[in-house]
Amino acid sequence: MKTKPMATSLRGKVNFSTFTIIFLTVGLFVALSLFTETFFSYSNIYSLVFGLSIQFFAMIGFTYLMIMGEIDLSVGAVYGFGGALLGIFVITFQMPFFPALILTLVVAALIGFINGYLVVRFRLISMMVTIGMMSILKGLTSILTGSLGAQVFPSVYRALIKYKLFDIHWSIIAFLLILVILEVLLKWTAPFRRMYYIGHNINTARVYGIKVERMKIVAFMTSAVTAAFGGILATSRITHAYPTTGLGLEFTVVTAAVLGGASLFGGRGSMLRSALGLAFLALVLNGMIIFRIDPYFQQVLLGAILIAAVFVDTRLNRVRA
Amino acid sequence: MNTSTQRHRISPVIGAAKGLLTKNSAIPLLICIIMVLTMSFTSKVFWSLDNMDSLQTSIAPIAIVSLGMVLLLICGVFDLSVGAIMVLSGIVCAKLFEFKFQTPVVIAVGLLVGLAVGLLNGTLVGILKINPLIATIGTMNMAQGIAMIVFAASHKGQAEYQIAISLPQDFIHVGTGRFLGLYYMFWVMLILLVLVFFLLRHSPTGRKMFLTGDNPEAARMMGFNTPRITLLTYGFVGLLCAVAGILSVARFEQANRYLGEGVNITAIISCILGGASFAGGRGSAVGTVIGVLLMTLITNLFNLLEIPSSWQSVVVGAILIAVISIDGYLILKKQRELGKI
Repeated sequence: MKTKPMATSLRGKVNFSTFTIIFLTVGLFVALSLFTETFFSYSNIYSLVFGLSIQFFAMIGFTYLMIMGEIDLSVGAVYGFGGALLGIFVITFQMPFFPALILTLVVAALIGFINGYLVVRFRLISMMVTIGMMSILKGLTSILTGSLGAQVFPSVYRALIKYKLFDIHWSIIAFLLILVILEVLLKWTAPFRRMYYIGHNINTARVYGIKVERMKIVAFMTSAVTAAFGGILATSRITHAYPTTGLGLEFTVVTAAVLGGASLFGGRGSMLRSALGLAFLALVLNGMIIFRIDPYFQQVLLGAILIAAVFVDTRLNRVRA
Repeated sequence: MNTSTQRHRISPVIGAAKGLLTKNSAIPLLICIIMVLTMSFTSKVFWSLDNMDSLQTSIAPIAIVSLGMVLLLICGVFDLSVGAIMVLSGIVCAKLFEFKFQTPVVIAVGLLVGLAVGLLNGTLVGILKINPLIATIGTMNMAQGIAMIVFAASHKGQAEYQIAISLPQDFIHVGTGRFLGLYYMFWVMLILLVLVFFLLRHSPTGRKMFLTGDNPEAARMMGFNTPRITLLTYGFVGLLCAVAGILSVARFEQANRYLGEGVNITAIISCILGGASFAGGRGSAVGTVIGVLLMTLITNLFNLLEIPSSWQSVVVGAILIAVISIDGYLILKKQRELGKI
């Protein structure tokens, strides 16, 4: 029963979804550089990458979860909550900065653990659990920011994002380094490859002795911790806790991941392409600002991009099945 | 067992009551009764006319939306864009009055907007088979964005505030008018409750919905057009959201962007409290309204105790997680009993 070995081998080699996002991002970059005067300048691109480097942290654990076929919609809420909670520790409780930072990340890990435990133990739909968590954390964030008011954070908190290496913000260097390391780990090391097996076929993965439950819980914890860290960086940048930090971030992140070839069905996705997806969305927003398009229209367009990306994903998966 | 229950047949009235109150919705109803009793003893304003009015107007729109949502859950899907559809149709209506359109025309357009977004959801989920979460998050953002564009079109600089133009009297009457002491919107809810009840219990369409959610494969084999059922249900839900949105705008005499905030989560929780499940194939009309009642009483309690609304979203989120955990546990138990795991 040989069915067109040529075609299948070709399909294996030329994976269109791998290159789509690269073409899209590079194409948009070139188009913006050619057709607008303000886009291609050092300061604009630098600030674009700087913003990207902060948002990317919320993307790390999220990509792992997508690969395993789960989703974490509480990333945006954790992002906002992390910054506000650290503010409370530092300002209200007068804690020294670094212990407070670690404590905040521990709290975030706990949040991720609760998400993961509920999903794994009761086999719940992860998006519903994390929507509940999102609602809880949004409420808590607005309570915390309400009690902080407009108090500016102490200088050590504000300085966190400002450290520079070779005249470049450290978060940009960290972003590029982490991106390369994680991509390599995800592609070529066994512990990370297991995530794909879980996403592809959870029962087979279990038969082969992969500790599915544990890995999922750890990924949920990673997602919350990285998101909280991103939120802390973002809050450090705007110097005070702001109730709408991270608003709608889950929406951006899921769009970016799906644009980057991750699938809601699990088993696909990569760190590099997720970051490219994020870059693509940042370029779209940047372009819309340059062309002075109504900010509310951005929301409409993002919604349309998300649906289109998932539609293509659904089609591709149906062909594969 | 079967014969003994038939021999000791309970009276038809109790039988009907038992049918109305399935085991799942008995507990929420009990909590509701306890809450009402405690609030009537501890709060002086609970039974006041003002509070009764505000309870009616907060129950009715959410119940109208939830009675649609339960149909979707029965079909095995759901809709996160309900609140956004409410806002969109409400704002479109308020906007049309600026151009001096007649009230019936405006209401018709508002309903059509809701129907259109609903059918779009239905097409995406039912026909194009896109994951309902993503599809409706996408349409939610699109509808919110469009609503804000419409909203800000003539209100540059004051987009944060409500559309403050005076709505015509006959439109406001739709929201504030009463029949036998109850608001029109409450009557709409009651009529819809009866309608959905009979749809689910005594109509072939209801049967098809249950089977679509319970076992889509079997439904397809029996020749049901499951994509069409899903499409039309989404359309119906869109229409109901528009009804809820228009009634709210007419009641509060203004359209603002916070109109439908959190309605999607509240509606889903209410349905699940009333016995619906994400697994599909379960749900009841009466249970859903009891769920809405419970959620509204909790909000009312918060307002009477003057607890900040931020805590409400914390509690709502916690209830959602608790409810779906119990739901998940029950599904797991059922599957274990069937030997599926």
